[in-house]
Amino acid sequence: MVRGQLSAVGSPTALPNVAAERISHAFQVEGGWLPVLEEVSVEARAGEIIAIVGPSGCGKSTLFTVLAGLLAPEEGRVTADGREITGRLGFTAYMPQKDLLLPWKTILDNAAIALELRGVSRRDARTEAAAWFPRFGLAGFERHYPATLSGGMRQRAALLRTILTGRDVLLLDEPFGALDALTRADMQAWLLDIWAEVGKTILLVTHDVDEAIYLADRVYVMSPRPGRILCDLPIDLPRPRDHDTAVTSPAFTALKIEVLRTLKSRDT
Amino acid sequence: MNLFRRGRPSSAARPTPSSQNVRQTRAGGPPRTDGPYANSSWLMAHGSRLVPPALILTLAVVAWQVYVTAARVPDFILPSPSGIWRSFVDQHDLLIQNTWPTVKIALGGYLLAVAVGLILAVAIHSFRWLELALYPLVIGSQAVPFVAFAPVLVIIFGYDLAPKLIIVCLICFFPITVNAVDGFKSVDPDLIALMRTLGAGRWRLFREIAWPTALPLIFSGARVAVTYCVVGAIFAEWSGASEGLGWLLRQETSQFETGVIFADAAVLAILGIALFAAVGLLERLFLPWYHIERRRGALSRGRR
Repeated sequence: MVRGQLSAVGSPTALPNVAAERISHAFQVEGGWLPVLEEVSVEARAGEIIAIVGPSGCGKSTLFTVLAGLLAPEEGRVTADGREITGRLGFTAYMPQKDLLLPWKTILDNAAIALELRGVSRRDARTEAAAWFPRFGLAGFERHYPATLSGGMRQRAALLRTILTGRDVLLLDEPFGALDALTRADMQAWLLDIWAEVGKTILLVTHDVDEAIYLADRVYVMSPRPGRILCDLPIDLPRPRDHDTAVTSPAFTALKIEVLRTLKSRDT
Repeated sequence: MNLFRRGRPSSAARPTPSSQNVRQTRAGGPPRTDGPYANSSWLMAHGSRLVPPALILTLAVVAWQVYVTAARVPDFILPSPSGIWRSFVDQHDLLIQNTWPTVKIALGGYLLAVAVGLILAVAIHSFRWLELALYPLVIGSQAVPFVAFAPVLVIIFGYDLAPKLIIVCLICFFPITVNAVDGFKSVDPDLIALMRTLGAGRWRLFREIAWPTALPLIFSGARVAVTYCVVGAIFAEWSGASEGLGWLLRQETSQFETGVIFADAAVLAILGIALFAAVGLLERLFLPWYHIERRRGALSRGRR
């Protein structure tokens, strides 16, 4: 594969919808500094799905907190459509690893809170959020509390909340990491459907290589800590992708081998 | 314990709402504890919980009666349960008349304590310097024997309601404040981070995260406090009043009317239990999610 090749979805002239430019960051730990990110640059164009793969603890989640504006990195900058947004909240919609639904709110109110915090009245927020429930497989569960739902349902509710922020860029940090394999495969296919409908830009962190290739237009492979980008791999599998066909195709296998090799090149 | 779980239908019998989009891949999860059956099972579980204490109480009363009768203890030293019942029947007008003033003081002082306790906790939580300045004093205040100060407060504020409410408040506010401060501190930092990305400001973070996180702890503080408020009211009346169950206790003690004293104490106990139950009921109304989680937690430790 040729590095930096443009994917089919993004237009080559447009500015990246969101981009991290040469981000470096270190955390202060007992007796010194722990570098977690080293000159990491990633970008996503409007409507693309970007997957970032890497071993545990490679700084993927830190990169996301930077992109979300929660953390100002020591070096580097973040831009959205060309404007600098480093360390500023409110430009991307961040869905952390844990679903982080509020246990004291019903599923409906959990989703609606994203709208409420945009200034929508509670009533309108509930109406608008409820309209999405069937599409998210949550119909009939509006008044349930998160504790009574399965992991997959909680994750979908969290994703609905993320989408209802109305922001163009979604940052999904291992969205399906806590789910069992079957639920996960369902959720991946479902996520692609939703993505095709809402037309968002998605950045996704995962340590599941199959998931990355199946979902993404481009896959970034990261090294173990301190995280660096090892390669930027375009995934030119045709869309729409059927899960079972896609993951068993020779093209998929070739891509997977490439990603695994890149990961291993730094492991040993 | 089966005693607490009686009457709960099995998960297989429970109808669950289904949806076309959801494939139920999690077969045989823990049974859901909400839904139409939850209330009846709640009543049965709690009804059966009353049986053991009632049994022990009955045994104690019987033993007491037998002892007093057999040993011929004089009434003014230790009245028998039947003697107490007679006093209660004879003096019920007096007891009932004096109950309302005590309820007023206990409940009024308690509500004051809840308000003061929460305001203090929010202030301590909101401003670091207030925490440094105020929290040690709040904790130190508990070493002060308010009971000893009660007569002084009466001298300062007079014989009416105000000093009595203040005494009850001083005795009750502490568990509410401490629990609320702890509760505000125990917020999940990840939740705060997430809510910030959604655009929540300081006030929203408090209202949506810190307050609901603390509420279960606030309620357990409130439950502890409510058991103090009746005692507080008695002290308040003891030190200067012309009515109330505390005043009556003092009157009857000087006259060795032990039967009435015990009847008085029984009314106070019932009052205390009723107030405790009322707070428990309020908690159930305000925190439905918390009880669902707690019951689930008991059924399946360590989900996720």
